[in-house]
Amino acid sequence: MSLDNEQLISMYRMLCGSRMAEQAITDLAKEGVIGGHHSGLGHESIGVAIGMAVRSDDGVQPSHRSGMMLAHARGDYSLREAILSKVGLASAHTAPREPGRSRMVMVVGLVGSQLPLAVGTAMADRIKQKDSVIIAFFGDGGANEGAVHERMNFAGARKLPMVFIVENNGFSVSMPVNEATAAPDFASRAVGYGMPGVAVDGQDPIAVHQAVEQAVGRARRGEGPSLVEVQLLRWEPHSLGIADTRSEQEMAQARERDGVSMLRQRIVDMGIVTEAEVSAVEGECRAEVDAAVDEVRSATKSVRSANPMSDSDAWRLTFAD
Amino acid sequence: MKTTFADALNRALREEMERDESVLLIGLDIARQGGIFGVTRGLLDRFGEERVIDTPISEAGFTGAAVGMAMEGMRPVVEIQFADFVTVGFDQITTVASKMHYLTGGTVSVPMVVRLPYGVNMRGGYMTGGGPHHSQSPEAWFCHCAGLKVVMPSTASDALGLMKSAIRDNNPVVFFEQKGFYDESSGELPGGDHLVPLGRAAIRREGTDVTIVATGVTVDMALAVAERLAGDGISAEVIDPRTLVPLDTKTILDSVGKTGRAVVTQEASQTGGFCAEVAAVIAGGAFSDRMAPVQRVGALNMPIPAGEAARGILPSEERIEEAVRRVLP
Repeated sequence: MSLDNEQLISMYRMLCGSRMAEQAITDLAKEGVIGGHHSGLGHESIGVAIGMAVRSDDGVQPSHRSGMMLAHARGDYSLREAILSKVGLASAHTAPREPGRSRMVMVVGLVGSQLPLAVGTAMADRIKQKDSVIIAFFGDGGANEGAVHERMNFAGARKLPMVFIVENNGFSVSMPVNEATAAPDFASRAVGYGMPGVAVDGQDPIAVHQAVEQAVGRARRGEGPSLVEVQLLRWEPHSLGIADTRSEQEMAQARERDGVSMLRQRIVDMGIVTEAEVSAVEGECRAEVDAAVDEVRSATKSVRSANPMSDSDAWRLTFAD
Repeated sequence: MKTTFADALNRALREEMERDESVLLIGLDIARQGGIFGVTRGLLDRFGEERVIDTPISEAGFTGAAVGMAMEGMRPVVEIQFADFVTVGFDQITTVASKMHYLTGGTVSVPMVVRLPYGVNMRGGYMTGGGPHHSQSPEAWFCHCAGLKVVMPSTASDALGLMKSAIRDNNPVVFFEQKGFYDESSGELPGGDHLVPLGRAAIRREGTDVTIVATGVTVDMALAVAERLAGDGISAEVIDPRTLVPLDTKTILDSVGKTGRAVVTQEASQTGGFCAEVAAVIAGGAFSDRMAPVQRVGALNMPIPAGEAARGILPSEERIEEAVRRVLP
């Protein structure tokens, strides 16, 4: 394990903090305070572990579900900012390079369509002789889009410095993975692209971190791209306003494996922290999240939904000068 | 040695690549092969494989990768081998490239050009009469998408000057090259750094009785018709918009304000085409008590037949002349 004790404690702090923040955002969305949300509950381990495995100059194209946890682990969002940015009370991370924030690659609203952007970013970095790595997330749904196949093939052919993350949470909206593909996993597709592929448990943040750290190292050494499939189950419905097609029993089963509580148990059992110290960390996260939720609730609706840009300014953004 | 329309484009690419090292080319068979229409010939030797990039057949993949490179400060020029093939890369232009400046609050621009060899080649040379999958004129698809500029030159000199301007533009530009033009003589090209600004129409022939707005191959047809009409004492003005988005509405409206009659023609199938947009601009903006109904002349709405049969569905001098005579008093 490449994580030292201090990093493991830090990992746990970010995991439990992002769990609480994500729960708060999900609850606010259900109440109607936040307009819409793709809940990332259950996805904390993937976001935090990968956020800890990359450099700030590595370009990460995040997913709509674990992106908040990833940004938190990269230092781009405090828990407070993660919550407040959902209602326009803090600035959202929406452009590739923002002062004080790590490097991201833009996402678009169609799954899979964004992957070519990440590949182009890696091509540009190579021309500029940078040693940064581009990490691109897509889900088990996006994995079946043509653009994803096209670009993984090209990245393999050109040995681009990239890591492809398949965030496989079992379902694309209502389509179960085993009906969407006959292959037993996505990691095995890597063979067809001439790159290594590995599947890891998405509720084991240490395993996710290790797999991604190795893949990033390989890319940075010029040995080419890798595919890391992170397997987990989505806890909440696809998005606010869409009923889940799973039974209540299946929904409950999805929550049985919980990377946050498992890491807690592990670091206590390892003797890295005491029960009291862990509780103290949790108390600090709880206080920060609760204060942020209070801020959201005390802001009037008009402040929360205020658009800082006039219509004519927005219109002018259609074209660059 | 005779220079061609393709040579004019080649010169534009070469000059811009020499001027600005962020300009690079990406597409199918553009490096070793020099492009199947020869537009990128010799550029691999001059600029190397880092800037003249051959890719596997993956239009979504390489068009989208060009967007990514553009966002990182490069100025990619994408060659889609046939405009028809852009459908498989369409999402990357219309969903990804066109909205990026807006999405990033203006902090990131996408300076890229997508070159589309389009249309039916009835003039000889490679791929004459290419049939339903190698002959379309899909400019209207892109005109409809906010955030894209759309360019369609009808002369080699304009192809040279517009391509250089398109490469320097900070927005995604979709650049239409009629395949039949490639092997035709360019005539004497302007020397020096020849730039034609985007958004400015050309008045190809001045006239007072009727305005013909034509694009691409129909410009030559309109000029031939105007010449013939002159023999009958009818004075036709021929306008070539050159840039479809942004459209130089002033030149068109000034002309129709003068003539009071307009025929709009295009190679593409007529329904929902660029002609309809021009006709609407004229209907909405040209106030004249002697204004006649605007006539459109496009291709029939059907897949384009292979070989000589294509002539039967395309606009022709005869059909344009017939439309002109319909609007005259």
